Amino acid sequence: MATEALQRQIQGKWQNSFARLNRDQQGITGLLGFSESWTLATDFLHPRDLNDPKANREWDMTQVRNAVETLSRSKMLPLLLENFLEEMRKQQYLITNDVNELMRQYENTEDIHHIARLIYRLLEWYRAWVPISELGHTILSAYTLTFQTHIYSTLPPSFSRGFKQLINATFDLAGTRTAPPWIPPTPAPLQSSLPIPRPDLPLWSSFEQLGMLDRYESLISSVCYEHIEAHILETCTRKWGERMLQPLREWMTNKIVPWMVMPYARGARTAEEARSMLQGVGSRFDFHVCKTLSDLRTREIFDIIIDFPDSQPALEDLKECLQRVDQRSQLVQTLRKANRKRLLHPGADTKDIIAQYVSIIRCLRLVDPPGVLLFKVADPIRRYLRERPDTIRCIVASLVGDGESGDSLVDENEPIQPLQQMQVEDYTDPSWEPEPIDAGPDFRTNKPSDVISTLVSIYDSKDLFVRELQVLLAQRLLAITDGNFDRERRNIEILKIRFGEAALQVCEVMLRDMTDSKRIDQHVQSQKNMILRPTIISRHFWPPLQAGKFTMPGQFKQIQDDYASEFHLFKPDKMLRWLPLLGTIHLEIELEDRTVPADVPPLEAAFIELFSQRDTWTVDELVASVGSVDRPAAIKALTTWVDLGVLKDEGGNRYRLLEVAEDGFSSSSGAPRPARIVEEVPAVLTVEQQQADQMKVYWKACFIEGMLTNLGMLPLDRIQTMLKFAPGYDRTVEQLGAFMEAARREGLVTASNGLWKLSKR
Amino acid sequence: MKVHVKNWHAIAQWRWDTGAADADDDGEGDVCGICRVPYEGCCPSCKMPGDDCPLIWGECSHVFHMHCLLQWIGTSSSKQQCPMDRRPWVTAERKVDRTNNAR
Amino acid sequence: MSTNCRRRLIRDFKRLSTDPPGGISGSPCPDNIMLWNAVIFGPADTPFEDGTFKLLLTFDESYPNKPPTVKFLSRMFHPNVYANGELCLDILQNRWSPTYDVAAILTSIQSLLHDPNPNSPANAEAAQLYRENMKEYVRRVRATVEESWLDPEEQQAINEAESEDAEPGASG
Repeated sequence: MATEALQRQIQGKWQNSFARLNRDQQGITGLLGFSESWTLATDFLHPRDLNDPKANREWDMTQVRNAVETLSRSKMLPLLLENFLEEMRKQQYLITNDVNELMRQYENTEDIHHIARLIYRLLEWYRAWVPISELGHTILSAYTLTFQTHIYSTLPPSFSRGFKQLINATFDLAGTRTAPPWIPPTPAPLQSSLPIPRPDLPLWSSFEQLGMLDRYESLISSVCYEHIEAHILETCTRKWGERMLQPLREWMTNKIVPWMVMPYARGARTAEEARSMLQGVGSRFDFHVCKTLSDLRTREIFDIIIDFPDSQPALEDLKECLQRVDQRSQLVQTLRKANRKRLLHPGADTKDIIAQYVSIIRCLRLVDPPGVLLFKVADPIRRYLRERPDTIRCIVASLVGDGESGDSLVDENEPIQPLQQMQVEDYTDPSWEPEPIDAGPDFRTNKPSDVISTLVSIYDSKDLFVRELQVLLAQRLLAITDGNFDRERRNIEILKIRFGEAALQVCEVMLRDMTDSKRIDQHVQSQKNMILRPTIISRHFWPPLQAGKFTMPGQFKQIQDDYASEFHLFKPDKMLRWLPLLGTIHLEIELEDRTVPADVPPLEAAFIELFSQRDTWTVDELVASVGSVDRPAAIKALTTWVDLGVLKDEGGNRYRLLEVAEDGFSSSSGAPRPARIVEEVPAVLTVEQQQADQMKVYWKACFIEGMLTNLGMLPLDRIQTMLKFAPGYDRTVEQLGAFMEAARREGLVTASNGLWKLSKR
Repeated sequence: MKVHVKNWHAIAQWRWDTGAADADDDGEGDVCGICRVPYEGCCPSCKMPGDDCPLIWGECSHVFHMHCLLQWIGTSSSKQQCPMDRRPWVTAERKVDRTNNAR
Repeated sequence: MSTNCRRRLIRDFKRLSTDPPGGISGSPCPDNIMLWNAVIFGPADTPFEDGTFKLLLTFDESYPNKPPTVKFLSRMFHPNVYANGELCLDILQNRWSPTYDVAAILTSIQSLLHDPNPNSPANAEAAQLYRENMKEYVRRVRATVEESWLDPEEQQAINEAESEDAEPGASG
């Protein structure tokens, strides 16, 4: 029963199939017609061998179309496609052979000509096997997919390299009409009757037809990126003296955009259309230009800063790039690292560090006016400078335009203004803007601050600067012998604007002492001609000077006394007190056979004067004759004369005058050098020396002890406030804290809850 | 041998000639009893020392910054007395007498 | 506007800090240089020995041409000290001189502890005991000495307790 039903079912199916193939024609004529059509169509579609000329036969396209029509009506097209794809697979080895051959040639020669040939060859295969359009879209796309799947599975890895090289070579074709030798003759179907704008257009069309534009999209854009990078490195490296971003964008427009039309806007019919098609990708490439330039300038930033202001255009480029790409934190990292490596080490001169810091200030202000970058970069420099002992001196030296330190930090174009204090933000200011997004919580806006204010703000107190300034001014003023101190006066005037009149009052007195000295001297000289020209200073208003106690002997004493009494006649209520260690005396030592000129400090002069009384002295005798002089100083003074050949060290602390020169110092053997013995005697005690002395005063435990006795318990900042009443106290609260901690360890004080009190004894 | 001095640049400090023995001190020196600032400094009202802020001598031999003393004498509680010894203040003529101090 | 007074006070402070006379100490308040706290240690061989007596000195701009007002913060039992802590001392009144500084003022007060002047009494009881009953005088002074060792808070507590004792009805 079941068998019967099955047979009936089979019977019905067969009838159906037969009817479809026979197309309701008589007998089996339909079936025969179908069979013919099938044979014709499969023959026509058979993937032929391009290398076999016989395979290339003529077809009657009408017949083919009819056959396809017949198959279509019999609903046999899917079967036909299946059959065709099966045939294709069988024939694929033909393509594989070509690919292998051409890739072998490429790998042997690295000549992209072979790659181009391969592209065209693949296109030929593709075209040769493509089914006619009457077969419908489905068949075409199935074909394309199968074809591409095959070639991409066949192409060896080295193809990517070759393809990249090929793309790279197309960059140089803009504007050329004739194809370079590596582009093989364009296959016939690709030749266009239109004037070809670029010889590589057929190549790009081939890429597209073979699906390579999609498949290798990132590779193509990476070629362009690399091209941009190479160009920027080549044209912009260490070229800081002119703006590069604009020329780069012009280069993009002239060189890269015409190329970009090929992969990205080939289909555009008008320039307008091309522009809109290129918009997205163009913006990506412009971003890459900015990123590459910004990376380059970031790598170079330390040297760009050294080169400032010549490198200003590079910084302007960087500023513009940073607005486009967010590389700000990289810039900060790189510069901080470079500073650490190249600047903030013991081998660097403080003045060089300061000079570079000033350049950094100027440069980063240019790149980032709100100062966030500067704040982040400057912090380690400032901390480092604070630890260097000579930082203040260097800053002050440049404040007063010390010739030795080379370039002055003070920019002449920068208006001189009072020191800026850190400002509280004024939100009512209509031009107020919020802090930039990368400003940290500790970012302090010190907006309009000038360079000098920034430098001075390294320290908590400007008093230190004023003291150092005073020392420097004293050194310079005391060295002046021609009475011309206009430069110093001008400097002080400038500094008064910065530090305020009151802070520089002492300097004002020093300058007036100079004027008064000159006036007094003019009067004294008008009464009595004197060879002595003193600088008369007000004690208490000059930094501590080297005090020494010795009395000038003989004629020197006479000269001093003469001057002093003339002075007293002029200023009856005043007297003079000589500072014996300071000053310079120009002498001529007249000996039997020669005259020795010398510029010497007073002690040297005093000793040689004693030798005019008798020829031989011991060191002790000399010292006793002038008063209190320490021995090393005495020996040094004597050595000066020994070096000049005037005295001879007899040994046993005895020195003898050489009335007649000994060998090597005879009058004939060489003109005595006009000796300039006045060395840089530090007449003025440095601030450091002063500080060490003052420490003892301000830090004496009894000082703080007294305070705590009176007030019981005090927090550290209150102690600090109190100590600030003490004149000249300039320790930071941190330094005070360290001191208190030391006192605690010694059991002098105790601390609880941040309050300090005396230990109960 | 002869030493010829061609020229000499020296540094000196000026001092008020208070008649006191020339104390060779390097410290602060004598201070005005009223403001406690050294004589060669200037009184709290002045900025420039020296001729602009002179001293004043009393017949009692006490010396002050002139400005300090005048301010004190100007108060009623001073009763015109020297702050040091409460004797009536009489300003002394500064006589230039080098015979005591001749060196 | 006068900073003369302040400058002078800074000098006083410096002198007092670097070269303090024995047994006294003083310093301005951190936030107001015109207000000074000071301590006088009771001189040896007097009933005040071992006491640490606290004072408050108030200056005005006329200093040093006018004296400061001086007041003991610690409770005192002394013929020349009023109950409210104010002193009867000639140099702080009609015999003031601008040559006095804080150190001189405190030293004078210190010697006043040493040598009271019962002829111009500010505390009649103390003056009387000083003249007539030295033993009781010493006992009363010693009480203030012991009180002076207490911290201000402790003293405060004692004062409050005393006032409660004095007014038992007020709380009940």
